[in-house]
Order: sequence, then C-alpha cells, then structure tokens
Amino acid sequence: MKKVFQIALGVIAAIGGFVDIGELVFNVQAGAQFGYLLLWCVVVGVIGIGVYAEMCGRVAAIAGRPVFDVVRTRMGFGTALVTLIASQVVNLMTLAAEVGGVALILQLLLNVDYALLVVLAFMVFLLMMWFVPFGGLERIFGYGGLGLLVFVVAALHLHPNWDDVAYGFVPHWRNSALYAYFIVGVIGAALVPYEVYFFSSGAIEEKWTKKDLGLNRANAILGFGLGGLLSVALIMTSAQVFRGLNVEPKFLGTAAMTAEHTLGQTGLLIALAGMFFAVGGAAVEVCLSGGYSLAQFLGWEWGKYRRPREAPRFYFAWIVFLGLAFVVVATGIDPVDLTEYAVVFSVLALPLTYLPILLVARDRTFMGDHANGKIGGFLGWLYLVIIFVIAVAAIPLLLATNGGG
Amino acid sequence: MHRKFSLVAVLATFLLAGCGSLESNELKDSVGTIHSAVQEGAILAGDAAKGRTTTNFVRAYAGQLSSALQHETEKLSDATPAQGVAPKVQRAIKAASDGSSALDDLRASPNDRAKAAVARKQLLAAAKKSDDLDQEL
Repeated sequence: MKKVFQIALGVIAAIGGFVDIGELVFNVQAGAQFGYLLLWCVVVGVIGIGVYAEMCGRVAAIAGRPVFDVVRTRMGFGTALVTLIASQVVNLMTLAAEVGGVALILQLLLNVDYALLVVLAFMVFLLMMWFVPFGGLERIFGYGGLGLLVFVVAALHLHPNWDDVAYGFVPHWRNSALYAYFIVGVIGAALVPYEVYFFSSGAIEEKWTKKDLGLNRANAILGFGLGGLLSVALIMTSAQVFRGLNVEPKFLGTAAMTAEHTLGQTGLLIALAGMFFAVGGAAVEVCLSGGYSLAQFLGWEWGKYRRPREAPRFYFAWIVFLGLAFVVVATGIDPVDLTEYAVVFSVLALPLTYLPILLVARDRTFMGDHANGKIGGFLGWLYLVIIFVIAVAAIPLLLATNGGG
Repeated sequence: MHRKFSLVAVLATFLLAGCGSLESNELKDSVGTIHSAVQEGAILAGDAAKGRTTTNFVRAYAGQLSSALQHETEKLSDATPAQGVAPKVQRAIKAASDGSSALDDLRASPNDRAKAAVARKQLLAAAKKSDDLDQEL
C-alpha cells in the first residue's frame, strides 16, 4: 500500500514539469489551426519522453550517475561542453518564458501590473527554492498542476465527434509548412531537454536504488502519460472552441478562455490555478536543471538535499540562472514568442542530450543486467532518428512559416 | 570586377527599393493577427455578456488583446504600402482600431452585461471586416 501511495505521489509530481508554457502555447495553437489533426504528435512526444526519462531514471538508480555526468563520460569534454552551452542557452530561454508566463497568468487572475508581477514571481521562486525541500517543491506544483484536469472535463463537456478525434491519432501528412512546423513544435515541446536533466537529477536527489526501478517506470509511463492526456485535452478543447474561426492564438489567456467558454467562472479559475502551478513547477524544474547541469559537468557538489554551505556553487549557479531569466523577462520580451523560439531551439540540442543517455543505458559495463532490453533499445534508436529529423527540420520551418505566424 | 560591382549595385538598389514598403503578403500576416485578436475578443465579450467570467480576467485579457491590436495599427500606419495596397491597409487599420476600441469599452465596464453584448457585436463586425480583407489578399 505504501508503495502504491509512493507511485501515486511520483505520478502526480511528474505532471508538474510535463505541461509547461510550451505545451500550453503549442497545443492550443495546434488545436485552433488544425483541429484534432495533430493529436498523434502528442502520442509520439509522450512515448519519446517516457522512453528517455525511464532510461535516465534507470541509469541514475543503477549507476548513480545523472545525465550530465553521463554526457561528459561518454562524449568527452569537447562535445559535452557544446552540449552544456546549447542546453544552458535553451534552459535560460525556457526559464525566462516560464517566469514571464507565471507573471502573465497572475495578471489574468489578479489584473495587476505585469512588471510588478514579474518581480513578485522572481522573489517567490527564489524564496521557495531556497527554503522548500525538493520533495515539497515537487508536490506543491504537482498537486496544483492537477487543476489542468479541468481541460479534460471541458473537452468531454463539448461532446467531441469521436470519429474525428480517433482520426487525429492516426499519423498523416499534409503538404503545408505550417503543419510541419506544428509537428516539430508539439513533439519538441514534449521532449524539451530540461525534463530529462530534472528527472535524472531528481532520482539522485531522492536516493533511488535498484529497488526503485518500478517507481521509475511508473513515473515515466503514468506520469508523462497523464501529462499527455492533458495535452490532448488542450488540443481538443481549443479545436472545438475555435473551430472555423481562423484564430491563431498568441496569448496564454486563450487557453484559459477555452475553459471559461465551456465551464464558466469556476472552470476559468481552476484552469488559471492549474496553469499557474504547472508553469511554476516547470520554472522550478528548469532553474534547478540549469544548476544541476553546470554542477554535474564541472564536478561540483550539488543537490537540494544538501545545505547551501555543503553545495555553495550549485546554489549560486541556480540563483544566477534565475537572476538572468529575470533580466531577460524584464526587457519586456513577450514570453509566448520566447516560448516558441525556446521550443524550436531546444529541438537542436536534443540529439546531443539523448544520444549519450542511450549509449550508457545500453552499456552492460555501467548497467549490468539492467541495460536496455530489445524493446527499450529499439524505441531508443527509433526516437533518436525522429529527434534527428525534427532537429534538421526545425530552423528551416521556423523561417519558412515566420515563427508559425 | 566591374561586372561583380554592377551586380551588387543592382541587388542593393532592389533591396533598398523593397525596404519599408508593405507588400500584400505582409499585410495578410497583419490581417491574420487582427482577425485572431478580434475573434478572441468577441468570445470573451460574449462570455462577459453571459456573466460567465471574472472581472480581473476580462480587464487583463481584453487589455492584452487591445494592446496587440494597437501595435498592429501603429505598425501598419508607419509602413509605406506597396502600389495598390494602400486602400487595403486603411481597411485593416480600421478593423484593428474598431476592435481595440470595443475591447477598451469592455475593459472599462467588465460587469456591465449590456455593454459587453454591444462590444461583442462590434468585435464580430471587425472580425467580418478582417475576414473579408483576408479573402481578398
């Protein structure tokens, strides 16, 4: 019973990071512009992140190594340095987008000046991440993020045509650059690298061992699966509310409005609260991932389970990272535009992050009997090919569609 | 060498000539943004007219949509339209400013259902104008 409870907690915590500002933006846009046609991309993205998160958690539990340690060991200093720089630039863009996103959501809730809310968001994140332990952060944002389930209720309440929904889960091609751009966007938003950095470092934070491999698998499959359900619900709700209206959503408020339009005031407030916790949870994860990656690459002491005096450079790193994100948002850049660029550029960093994970997870000298099996190995290579294809296509599509506009 | 220089000069003249002039494909992008904002505004106003939303959400979201429309208005007003595009630019500016003004009315009285219903009608009219323009571009 205790184990089941622990798995449930882990699953809920996994939601906190999966649905972030990238998912909210790309899924709502995808639904508004293409109806249910891109639902299959959510499935592709969720299976991909589940496969690689499971590998990261397994490597952390068996070999005791987090992702960046693995990257440096397997790829050498030069390649690891390129990966570090690429992933930190993307992490910084993502963190700035998430912090700005939290301020925008608070503005929709409170109607207070945006600039003031950016400062407030920065202070709240700084204090929470300093004082609240790792497990507490995961649970606060994971439980709060469950508010996003209101989009599942909204999607069902709108009585979708289930034949059309089923057709959306069948992969198909359209001769349109915009459609291809959204394929990259929806899959890329699910596979952003910070999720695996955080997942693997979290496994070390929580001192996972061989005994926790079941928990790891449950978190990867059910946690990201539930996150995927929320993404599907966002696309479905958006598709139904904006059907035939030629809307190209550019605001976070658009997602909340779909819940409001369907379920009224209560739906709106639950949606905004869920969005606040989901995007806030992602901000915490990206910020810690920035600190984790740098500390693991340079061999510093790291971990939220350590006191600041035991891992001072790790604490300094994530605080600087949060401060830089604050500066980026304070320039007045639109968090939604920044999100689109962060997701597309993160796609470029994906192969550098995911290849070393796959190489270590299949290596019996590291993993012993827990190395990738046939199915894990097949899915790992398949997804690496998918990742390479979307990485090559990302920038040309960004330019060809003028950023999806 | 002389031929190379001439080619660069021709390219530079071509680029400079195009610089700052608003072509119809760029106008189409702007019209798409305007249409989207007024259409979203119409849904928001409709929900406000039914009392299905909150005061803070209406004020904040209508403010964001109105700012986006004002930005498009300024962008289009500052641009030099290419030949034959000018009348359509004026129609796009009119749709954007009508939408922005309706959203400002909605922000001013988010709890007044009757005014919200009027704002909805104005926004739907602006959406129709932008849609017609989009079809022509």
